[in-house]
Amino acid sequence: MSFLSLQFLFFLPVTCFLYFLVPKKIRWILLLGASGVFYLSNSVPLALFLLITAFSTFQTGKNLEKIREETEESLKNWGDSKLRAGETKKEYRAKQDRKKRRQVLLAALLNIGILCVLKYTGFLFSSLNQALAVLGFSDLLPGVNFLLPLGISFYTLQSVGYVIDVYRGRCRADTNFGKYLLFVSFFPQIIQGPISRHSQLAHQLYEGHDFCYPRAALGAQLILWGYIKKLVLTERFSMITEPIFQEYLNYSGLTMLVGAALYGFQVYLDFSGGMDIARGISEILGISMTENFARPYFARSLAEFWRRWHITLGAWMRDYVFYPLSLSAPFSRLGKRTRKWFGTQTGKMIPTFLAMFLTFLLVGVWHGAEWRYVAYGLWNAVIISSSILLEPFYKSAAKKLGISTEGAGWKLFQMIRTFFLVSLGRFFSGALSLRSALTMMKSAFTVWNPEIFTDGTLLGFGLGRKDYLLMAFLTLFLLGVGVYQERGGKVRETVAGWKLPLRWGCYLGAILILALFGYYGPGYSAAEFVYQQF
Amino acid sequence: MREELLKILNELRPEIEFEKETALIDGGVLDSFDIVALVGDLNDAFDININIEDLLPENFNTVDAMLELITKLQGEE
Amino acid sequence: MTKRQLLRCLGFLLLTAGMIWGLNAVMRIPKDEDTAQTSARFRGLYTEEEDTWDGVFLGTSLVSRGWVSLSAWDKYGMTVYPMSTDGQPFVLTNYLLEEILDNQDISFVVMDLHGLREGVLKTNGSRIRYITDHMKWSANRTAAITRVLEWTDQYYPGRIDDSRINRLSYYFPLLQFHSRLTKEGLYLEDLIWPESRMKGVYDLERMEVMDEETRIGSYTETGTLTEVQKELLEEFFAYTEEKGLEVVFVKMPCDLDEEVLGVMNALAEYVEERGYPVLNFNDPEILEESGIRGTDFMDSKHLNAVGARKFSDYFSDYLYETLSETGKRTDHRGEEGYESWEEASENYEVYYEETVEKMRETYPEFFDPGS
Repeated sequence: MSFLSLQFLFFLPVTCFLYFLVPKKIRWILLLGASGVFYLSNSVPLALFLLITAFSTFQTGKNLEKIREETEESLKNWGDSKLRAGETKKEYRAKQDRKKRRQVLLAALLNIGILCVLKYTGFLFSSLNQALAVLGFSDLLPGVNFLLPLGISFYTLQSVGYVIDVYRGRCRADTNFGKYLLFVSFFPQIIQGPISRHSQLAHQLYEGHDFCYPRAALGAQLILWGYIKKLVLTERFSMITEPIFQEYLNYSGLTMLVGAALYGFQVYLDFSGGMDIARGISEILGISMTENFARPYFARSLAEFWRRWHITLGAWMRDYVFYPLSLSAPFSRLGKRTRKWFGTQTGKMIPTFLAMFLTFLLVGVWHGAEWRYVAYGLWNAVIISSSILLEPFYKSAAKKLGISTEGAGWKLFQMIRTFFLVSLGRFFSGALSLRSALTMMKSAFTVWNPEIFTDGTLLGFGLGRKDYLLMAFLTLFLLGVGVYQERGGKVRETVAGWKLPLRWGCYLGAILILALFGYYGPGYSAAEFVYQQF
Repeated sequence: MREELLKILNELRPEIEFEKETALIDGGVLDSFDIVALVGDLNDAFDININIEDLLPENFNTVDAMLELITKLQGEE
Repeated sequence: MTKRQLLRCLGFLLLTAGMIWGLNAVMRIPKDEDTAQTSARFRGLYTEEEDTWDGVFLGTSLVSRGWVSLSAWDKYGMTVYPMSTDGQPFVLTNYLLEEILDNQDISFVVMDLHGLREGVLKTNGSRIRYITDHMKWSANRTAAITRVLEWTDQYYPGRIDDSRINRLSYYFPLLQFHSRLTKEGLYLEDLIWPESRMKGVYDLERMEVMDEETRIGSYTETGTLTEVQKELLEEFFAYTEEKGLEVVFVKMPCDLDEEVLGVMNALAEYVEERGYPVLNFNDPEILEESGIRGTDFMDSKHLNAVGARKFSDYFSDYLYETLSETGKRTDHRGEEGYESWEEASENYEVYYEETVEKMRETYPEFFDPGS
């Protein structure tokens, strides 16, 4: 079952209805049951992996809690204990901490190990095969392609994050496996996140919530909005981008750039639309879910883009990879050395950049096991680090040219620059392979063919004039909503505050757009129905 | 101690009026790069060891919060 | 949730449902020129004065283009309405009759045998939709769709894409046809069902005349029947018997492969043996007597306006003679409630004269005086 499936259309209202029907105390059980149905409808055997992850991290959490309690107990009764004779408090603490770390490491290794084996073995084997082929061995290793359990990339990070949070004392360990399993498998977020924090989400899942009409209405609004993004817009954009990326040899020059830019926007619509649906569902149930997108296309630098795009992944990587790396002992030793060698300013940056490169490499590889994703991660790291290094230069250049760096014009320039950089990165994430991504980029920058905007090349993707008008209209609308939100406006609350006829007109209009222009159903080609006489 | 902290902060991001900010982290004023740099500087200046566990938004949102954290960590040694 | 909120919520859902319902009625099989003909005929089923039809003429496009219901009216005051659709799936016959009986108290059915030939039995989505998309929402419609899909799966697996969403789109056409708006657009006829001004007579200009003298299939050999054909016929017999409907068969004049013509003869013999009257235009004598010739066709299968009139005049006589006399041959001319037939008859005369005039201009060679 996916959000776009027919079954989900029945599953969702039934689940919501039942949720508010059963006694509050067992509402979480209903959610667990619904999540189970949702997950198992996709694959029964692969659910085993989810269970392994849930159980191992749950158990680790409990163990950590036990060690913590033991430590506190011992420290409280430190004087009474004779066993601790030769040990100082500090030593004892360090010993207990090592115990805890071992637990965390074990759980992380197991779960990230499962993820890596399932996700990366094929990539590893084929890369090794290529390397061995150079040495004269061909196809030494078998080609493997494991079926991936639904949402594994997301629930693995979420559960490992939980273990680390328990270790760091940011949340208490769960004591009820059923409840914890719900935290790991909650159906709105299992497919594509957001990657939630235990301290933020778990208690909301376990409590039973009352039905709140205005809140449910807001949630329904968000769901509708998400479906429009996914069914009306994403599908139409993909009609253009798919041929460009799949049959890239047929296109050249600016078409590539347009394709990359549209592809980026398409991914945004698809992903953020999915998030809107997930958040909307949660909102109906009374659960507030973390925002995963904050209008990324208004970002004025790539670094800011990553704070607005897939926010929960960025936060996860920051808290569990970037900070630990850059604050680790080896990195601070490295920092001391580089400061000596390159001077304080530059020297300070080097370990941080190194940590960032590693983090973005992980971000890239997390997306998928392919070289193009490695390149995607590195691309982001390179741009972000160079923009930091070049910032003083930009500023002085702007000063010399007499350009104000405070005005709206400069901000707009920054946004467009960021949009351009983001779009270039999309060559890596959207292309068939690293090689084709590079081919596309080369063509994009070596062929100058502005005639594509006038000779109808861009209209030749099987979309009609009406489709383009619709896309333009909705994209402008989206932009308007974005600007309103950037200025602090709350769109849904505003709409909900309108007079009934206007409000309902909006909702019905949105439903009408979805019903008429959404891509769903068996598809229709006029040719199938022309003159079917005997 | 306050002056020293402010000096460090101003070196890090001269354009920000730190005394007035109440949501340095939650408001996105300081990013993770700034935090890493800041932690390194604070560790050196105050001879403390800021752990990852201490990297909570509430410990860095205001100047006062940072001072509190420093004091706490100095006490632990 | 307060009572007020509940009411509002229900109100909104009702509005939404109403909107979807409306869309579902409009976004159906496109009513382009040709389908609009079918729509117009079908509309009559729901808008004609109740219980004014004596009988219906079922079958494929051969009937749609061949049967002039107004011939029987002009000659005998009989009302025999065409409820034919292109490639009409025979398995839907009983459901179609059920729908007709709900509105019209008919006493007999005329059935063209071409619907039983292999090429038509091997149905497809749009042929099914010609009937089901035009039917009003009812238990009968649902049953009809379920049946035809199951039947097709059984005998012609793979003809209908078996994804669940595709299956559902037969019940809810919007699922498939919502994208028409951006693809080919809507026709006015999608919003306002066209109305037949001539009691279902096909009124697109049918003035084409086959270039050469078509060999019209007169054929006397007998082919073999399949079990499927027999089963379908038996099902039809059982149903019409149960409803007390008299059945008259016809094999419309039409040129097809000899093999198919042989099967048609076998079908005619089969129904005759079962005691039903049948008029078989494969029979050279009948063909001769009716006066239908090659120039009466617009293509190798379908009659043009002149041919349709010839066929209908001839068949009306046959029908009148064949039908048992118990009340089924009532002359309705001049009766109250049948004014619309008079009007339609006048419309048809005008249409016919105009069409023949145009044909005479286009093909003078076939309209030389004395022919």
